[in-house]
Amino acid sequence: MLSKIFKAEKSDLNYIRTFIKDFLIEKKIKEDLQYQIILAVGEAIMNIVQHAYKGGNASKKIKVDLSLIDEILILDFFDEGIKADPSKIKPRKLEEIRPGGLGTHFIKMVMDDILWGETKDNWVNHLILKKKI
Amino acid sequence: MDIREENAGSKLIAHIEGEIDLEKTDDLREKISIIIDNNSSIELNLTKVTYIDSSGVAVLIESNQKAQELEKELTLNLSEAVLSVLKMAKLESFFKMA
Repeated sequence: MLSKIFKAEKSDLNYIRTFIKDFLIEKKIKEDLQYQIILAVGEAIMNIVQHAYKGGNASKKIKVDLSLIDEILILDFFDEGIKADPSKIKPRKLEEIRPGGLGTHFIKMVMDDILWGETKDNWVNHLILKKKI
Repeated sequence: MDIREENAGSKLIAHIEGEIDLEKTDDLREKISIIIDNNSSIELNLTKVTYIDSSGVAVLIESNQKAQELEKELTLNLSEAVLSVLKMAKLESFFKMA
């Protein structure tokens, strides 16, 4: 498993994506699938910064764990922001063309499983994304 | 992310390069809005955009809606990366392509 902690602010979104992309390249994941996974992950971490941290908080952290077990890519995201309510996280209808609400749609479209795991240490939320490779 | 403006006859081409994510979208939204205010025909050249997330797509939707309200012509020229994301959102026919 690969693990790294990032600052919970907009400027670190690119570093998190690069961290995950490097992992996907190392695991020889096909380029088109890499792009889709990076898109889904980008949306997940953007949601954490926007909602759990109300736009970002440089003094707070996001922890990312990556693993590939039996051809299942598992991405764990831990944050110490506002407690998420999974029942309120829903994609918008695509026929309603308006800004916003697409991120959850992208995550659901790309990933096989979206789960909320148990938290440990001082983390408040634990988001788990899984994808069969 | 860089934006370079090019006057091409009656059209203003805004060349946008790099990655468009939440860190960049406030700046992008403001710059495109000014470009729409100051020109009647605009092309957003996104062929060198390597990544766009839903916040970037939101800027494109807002820009398109603003152009329509002001009766300006806005067209997009897309990279494969941007096109694939617009297709995932079923938005490829919402925009006029260059």
